[in-house]
Amino acid sequence: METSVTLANLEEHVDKRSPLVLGKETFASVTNTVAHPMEMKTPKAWWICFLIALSGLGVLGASIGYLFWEGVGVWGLNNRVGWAWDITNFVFWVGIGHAGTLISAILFLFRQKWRTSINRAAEAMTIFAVICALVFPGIHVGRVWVAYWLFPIPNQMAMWPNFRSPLLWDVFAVSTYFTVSTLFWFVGLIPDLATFRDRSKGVRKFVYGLFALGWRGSHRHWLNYERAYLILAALSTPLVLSVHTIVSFDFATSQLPGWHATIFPPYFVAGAIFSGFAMVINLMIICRWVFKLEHLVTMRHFENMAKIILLTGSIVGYAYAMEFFIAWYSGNPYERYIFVSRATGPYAWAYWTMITCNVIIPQLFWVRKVRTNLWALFIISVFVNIGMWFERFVIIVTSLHRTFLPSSWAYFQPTIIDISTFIGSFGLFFTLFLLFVRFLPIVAIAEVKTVMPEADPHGHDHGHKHATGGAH
Amino acid sequence: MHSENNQEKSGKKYWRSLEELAESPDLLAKMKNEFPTGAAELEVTAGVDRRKFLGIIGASAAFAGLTSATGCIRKPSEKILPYNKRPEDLVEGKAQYYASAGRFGGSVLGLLVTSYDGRPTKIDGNPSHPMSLGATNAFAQAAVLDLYDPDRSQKVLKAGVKADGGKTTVKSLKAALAAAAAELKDNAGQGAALLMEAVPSPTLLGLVREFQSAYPKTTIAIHDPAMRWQEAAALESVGYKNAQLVNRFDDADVIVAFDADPLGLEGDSIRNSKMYAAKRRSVDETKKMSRLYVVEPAFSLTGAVADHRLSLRSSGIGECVLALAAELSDLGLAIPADVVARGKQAANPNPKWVKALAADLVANKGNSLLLVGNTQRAWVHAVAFVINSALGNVGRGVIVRSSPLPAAKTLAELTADINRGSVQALVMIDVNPVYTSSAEIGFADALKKVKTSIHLGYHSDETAMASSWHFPRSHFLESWGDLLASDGTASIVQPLIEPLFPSLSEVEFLAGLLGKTANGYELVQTQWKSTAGADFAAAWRRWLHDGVIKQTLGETLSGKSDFSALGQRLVGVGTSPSPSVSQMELLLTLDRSVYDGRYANNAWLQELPDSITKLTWDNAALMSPKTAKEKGIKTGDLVEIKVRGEKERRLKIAAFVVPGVAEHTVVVQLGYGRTFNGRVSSGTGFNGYELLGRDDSFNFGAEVQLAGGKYDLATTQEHGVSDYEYDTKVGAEAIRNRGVYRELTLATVTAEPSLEKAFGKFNLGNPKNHRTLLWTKSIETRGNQWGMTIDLNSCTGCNACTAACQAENNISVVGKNRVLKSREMHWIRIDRYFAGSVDNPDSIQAVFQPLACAHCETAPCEQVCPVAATVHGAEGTNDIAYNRCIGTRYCANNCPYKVRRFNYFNFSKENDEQNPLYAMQKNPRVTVRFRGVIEKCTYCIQRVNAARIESKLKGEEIIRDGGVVTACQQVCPTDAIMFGNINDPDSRVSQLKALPRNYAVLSELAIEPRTTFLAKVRNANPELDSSTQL
Amino acid sequence: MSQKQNLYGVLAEFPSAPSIYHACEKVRDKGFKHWDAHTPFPVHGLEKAMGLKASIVPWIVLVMGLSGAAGGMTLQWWISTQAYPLAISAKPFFSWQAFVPVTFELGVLLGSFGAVFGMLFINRLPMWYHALFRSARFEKVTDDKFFISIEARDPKFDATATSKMLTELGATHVELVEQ
Repeated sequence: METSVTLANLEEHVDKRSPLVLGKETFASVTNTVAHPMEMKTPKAWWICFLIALSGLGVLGASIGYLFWEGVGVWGLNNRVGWAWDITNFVFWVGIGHAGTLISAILFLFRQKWRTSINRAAEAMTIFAVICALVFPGIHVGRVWVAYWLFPIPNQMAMWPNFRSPLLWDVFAVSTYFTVSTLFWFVGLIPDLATFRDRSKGVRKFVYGLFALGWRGSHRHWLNYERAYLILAALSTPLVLSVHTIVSFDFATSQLPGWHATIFPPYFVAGAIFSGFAMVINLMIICRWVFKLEHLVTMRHFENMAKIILLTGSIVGYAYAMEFFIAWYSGNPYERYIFVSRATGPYAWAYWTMITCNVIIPQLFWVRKVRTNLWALFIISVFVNIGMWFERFVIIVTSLHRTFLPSSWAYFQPTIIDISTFIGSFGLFFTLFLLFVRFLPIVAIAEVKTVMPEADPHGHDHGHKHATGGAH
Repeated sequence: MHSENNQEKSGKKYWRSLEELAESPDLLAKMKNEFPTGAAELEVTAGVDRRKFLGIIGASAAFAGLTSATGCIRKPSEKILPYNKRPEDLVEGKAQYYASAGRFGGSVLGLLVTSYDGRPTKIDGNPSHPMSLGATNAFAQAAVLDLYDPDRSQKVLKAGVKADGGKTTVKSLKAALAAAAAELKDNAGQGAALLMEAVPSPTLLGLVREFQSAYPKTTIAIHDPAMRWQEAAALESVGYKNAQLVNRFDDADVIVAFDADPLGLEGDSIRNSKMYAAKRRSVDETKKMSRLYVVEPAFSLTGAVADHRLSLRSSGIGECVLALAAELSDLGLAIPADVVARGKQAANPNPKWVKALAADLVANKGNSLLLVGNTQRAWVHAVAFVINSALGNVGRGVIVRSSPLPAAKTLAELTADINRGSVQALVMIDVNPVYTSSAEIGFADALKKVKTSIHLGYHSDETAMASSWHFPRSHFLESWGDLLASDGTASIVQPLIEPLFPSLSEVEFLAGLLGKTANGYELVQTQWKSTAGADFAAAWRRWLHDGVIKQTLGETLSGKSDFSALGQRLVGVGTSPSPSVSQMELLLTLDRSVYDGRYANNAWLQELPDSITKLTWDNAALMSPKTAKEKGIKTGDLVEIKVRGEKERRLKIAAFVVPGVAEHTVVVQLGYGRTFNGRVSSGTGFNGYELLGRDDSFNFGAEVQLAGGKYDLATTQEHGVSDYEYDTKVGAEAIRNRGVYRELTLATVTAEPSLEKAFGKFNLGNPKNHRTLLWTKSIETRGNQWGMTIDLNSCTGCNACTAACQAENNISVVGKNRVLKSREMHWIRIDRYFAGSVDNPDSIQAVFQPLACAHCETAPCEQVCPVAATVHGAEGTNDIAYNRCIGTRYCANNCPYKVRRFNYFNFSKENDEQNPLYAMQKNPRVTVRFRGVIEKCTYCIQRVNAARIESKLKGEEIIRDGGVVTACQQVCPTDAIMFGNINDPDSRVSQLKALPRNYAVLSELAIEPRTTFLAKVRNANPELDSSTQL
Repeated sequence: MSQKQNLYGVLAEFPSAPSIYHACEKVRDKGFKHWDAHTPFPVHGLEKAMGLKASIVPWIVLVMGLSGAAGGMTLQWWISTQAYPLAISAKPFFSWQAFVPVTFELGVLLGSFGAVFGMLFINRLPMWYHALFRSARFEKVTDDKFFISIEARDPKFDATATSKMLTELGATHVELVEQ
């Protein structure tokens, strides 16, 4: 068995269950490959990207500053459409965040070893996406200077928040999600930080050492460490599901036609995974290409992710269809009307953009040639994210702009500030991500080593029959 | 709020007498007598007892520093009497009420004015006045804002430039007036003219007579959109000289309005509405109600509530009346032969309709009422009068009264005189003919020919600039006067505040020109001395206190009408070409918001959505969807209207497509596009007067074609809707399915009093489908539990409630651009829905549904607020703690009625910065909202609290029924709104809620709203089925 | 003697996962107490080879998680029924259904705190100084080398004998580490 493995290691066969690490990699070479992007001289490309991202961040800052100075009126909102791009962007970013946790936690629980090369980057993406997401509920309120009232802080007025409000559930869900993902990410980083402590000199050694917390690979530590990591994964799994469920409650527990739907929680979670994986694909394709990680991030990784996109995309499509069916089946005129107007009304263009990007285009992934073609993967993933942004826009705006009383129907038009704030949030995201790829290992070194054949304590010695590890 | 120097500025700017307050001893003396205690305090303002001084300032310190100090002692120097309190016991922050009167849209209303610390803040109707009966219209509501209009004229102008170096004080004003009077003396001899509005003020008219005797060669001319020239001419032709008609709806069972708007812009609309509504509501007890027929070219309020409405071009109305006359004579009514003869060949727009109408009229002899609108020609009025007398309505519903006004010329005639050179001196009292007249008349040019032209006006407007003298007019809340209601009831106009700027009341102005020194107070008193009888002082007190002078002036004419002359009047009239796509009929109407343009600088009225079009801040060229399609015109397109008259008239104006306009008719409201640049009026709408002909309000052969380009029209309904027709259809569709607006026919009501089947047809609105709650409600159920009903059967969509709410609750104006973004702040809006098919104009109906926060018991807005800023009060109100609101807008999203309003910017601050005086109008009992918070109807919680205090003082736990009257309820001219304690089964609101007509909008959502609606009942004539119902 | 004073222990380097696996089995069987294995990644099953007991982290998580959830529900109950009861949408003051999400989130939050900080606490981390860091070769422990360290305080410890034993177990390099 092991010979076949070693042979197969030389090249990738997508038709066979191909290995997760290609070529004649050794533990040391893995370390070196991963360390390369951080130890190499900063490439020009990185600087260019970083400056672009940074100016994006500047745009975000300026837009928010203007917003705070003038008031929420600088957005296109009105008395009928009280939420639009702000909450759309919030849900969009939270959704993207989900893939990271999913890859790192759920796949970990299912012992999907292929996750190891991509989970670190995915987790980082989660955290940065959630940061972007947190911006929007923060700034969308009319009086930002008292936004802290959302937290149950004892105060002389004995005023407390209203725990019946889904918005408050959001506050708890998203902040918990952010905290736990960050811890999860950091715990995973500890051994690798130790690696860099041991590789580097001077200030870098000190800083990495500081965060490595004095990790020395002790197996007595590994024992607790793995246990804790497993539990974190076990906790993150229901957490990640709960977060988007609760986000969907913002709409599902309201009574607006088009919002008030029991299908929302699963539908939102599927959508989140859908868009999240698309974003991971985009990011990994770039990192892989820039940092020469072809041997660690293999075609199999991409193909698996493409399959997940295909699955979740179809779930989302099913949800769209089901919404229409229920609207018709319920016999509720408001419900019926809102869905008819979604597909035919003033916002039909948004609706059909969503359908095209989310339901039709991902179906191409049935074809292996597409699944394994990086260009196709990249472009389709971009489409998926466009589609998912529009999904949130359609849900929020089309439902609000034509509610129960025809007298209060209105139309929403974004202002330049709406747009700049959204674009700026990408600036924030990529600034953080670029810093990450420059200063932290984008692949979980220790974990990758565990899935290499050499890692099997019984691999190279014959005759030992009580071996169990190898199979995993 | 204001910085120090800012205060300084505002102080100087708005208060003429700060210096005098400091220096002139006589003023202080004046205050002593006026304000014994106050003055004593004031003398120590040097700084000794600052605290006491502030005590006097009281609540009014809220606005700009020094101004407030003067604000609370700005009281007229004469003794005035509050309606129900003595002025001596001035309690800071406590409202005082004074009776007064005003003239709005041609009808005289008795008023009850609320004042805080000397600041008039709210105007309401005087219940004991026959024409207001406690209600008012939107104009009266907004009048209080005019008082604080920063653009109001503050300077004497000589030939359009500031006289006395722009430093007009009381003294310089008096001097200037004397100078003007002297100039007048020199020129008036060779021929003078007096141009004024049709103001039925005994004192003023007395002075006019004096003027005539002083200058025998004086022509009196009246220029007033409310002046009913044609009706007067008609009455003259049937033998009543200088008479006017007064219509009484009190027991009219069948009302027919020919292009008339008795419930809206014409006549005593408030009284008419009250009486009309009473008749409609009687359906609940008697199962009977009046029936209203309307024939009109475009929706008026009257037309909108009509049971049967015929859409007919203005020029065709006369024919229709003639045809009706003929029909009636067939039914055996005594109509003069020549009228019948002419009627036989009249172009009957809809024989079936007219036949049914005739039958209905005959069946209700004596209890019917025919009205003809101001725009119609004299002969139409004459024929209508013939019919009225044949039906025996004259003397009952139709009363002929002598007009208090002197025989007067029209503006056109006056202009002719001027051009003939027979007028050397012209005195204009509160008119603006340079703007409000037809170019064909050419008044502006004629004015130049007059040696001395002296103008009194509230704004330094177009006419003020063109006259040789302009004097600022005082607001009626600043001046003494008197007014006669159409039934002869007189009221004293009593001031609440001394003029904010040096200015003159009409009487002071005219008296001044006659060289009299007497001030308004003395003038009015001398006028009434004679009628008072023995004890003048006592009578005077009573008059001021009641606001009405019981015994009525002027007499009812009951002479024999003589129709002999009628025949030849009808020769050759009415035969007008019917319009076509190329040659359309142009109709110019008064505007429901700015009237003839006089309210153009009033922000409340500018933002008040038109009842039918829901258009704010602009007027437009209205045309029906059908016509618009034929011409390929869409709402918002700029079109050019061309009319050929003596000289060609053109106007580029935005088109607005709206159902209910007669085919091939284009309607333009007057009063917009003012050249006088007020900070509110400038840049609003298009000047319809440029299309006005010599003496027609409607014109034939108007050419309308696309002028290219678009124009943003800000409506509060169908926001940003591109395809109006599609959306109204969808809207009506939705309404029908949703049972949001419920309409029944009298037949249904009589057939099935329980109305279960009738309501059952609404697939969701059916009470049977209501969900029951899964939990027991946690809200208080004892004590006062507030609730409201709105009777859709009486509502005429007149907007008075919206205006009153704005005045009562310090609601900000947001401006056109924000309305375009649908960010208007009105707490109570009036939803307007159309029914019928746009292809059949006669089938088009409009209905109104006033909507404010319904205070749902299981309010959807409350559960979603993350900071519990909006929660339920102990008396069932849905309250907002503005200070707690962080502005997530989630509540607004989850509100099924969409009645919550968000402060996207610091609107109230903006308002005060733009119009610094507006702050003085603010109601001190209502929080002014700031940026970033939600606001909405509070059921006038401040009034509830005030009433609670009252009753607590009396030791009553439960507030007596009627103890709380909300602003919208108080103002409603049709008593459509009822508010009260629903815990008390005997309260009027409970009784109304018990009616079968009662229903809750969207009740199927189990939100249990406290505001419910009473379904509209249409009294359809069985002969004509008006099946196009919602 | 003096040398024994400041001696931390012996550090043996092994080339591969299997080699250290077997070495650990032997060291375990020899009955050493104070010893440890150091690996760049968790070698599968090594804890068996070393004869370690199961981790107690799960128990910490359980306790923390439950108290988090309990605390969450109590907080909400207290606020909406005791501290400041408000009539909101006429719903019961204690509408527990609506309080589930926050309860759950707080449970998860404290649970994860338990996992992370519990783990660090048991591992006595952070500990930025450790004797083994004195060995230059030990830097490879985070790259591709495997080590066994036996502490001097172990009763069975004897500098020379133990080093010899480790070499026999296949250590490619053995050294003594000072305190």
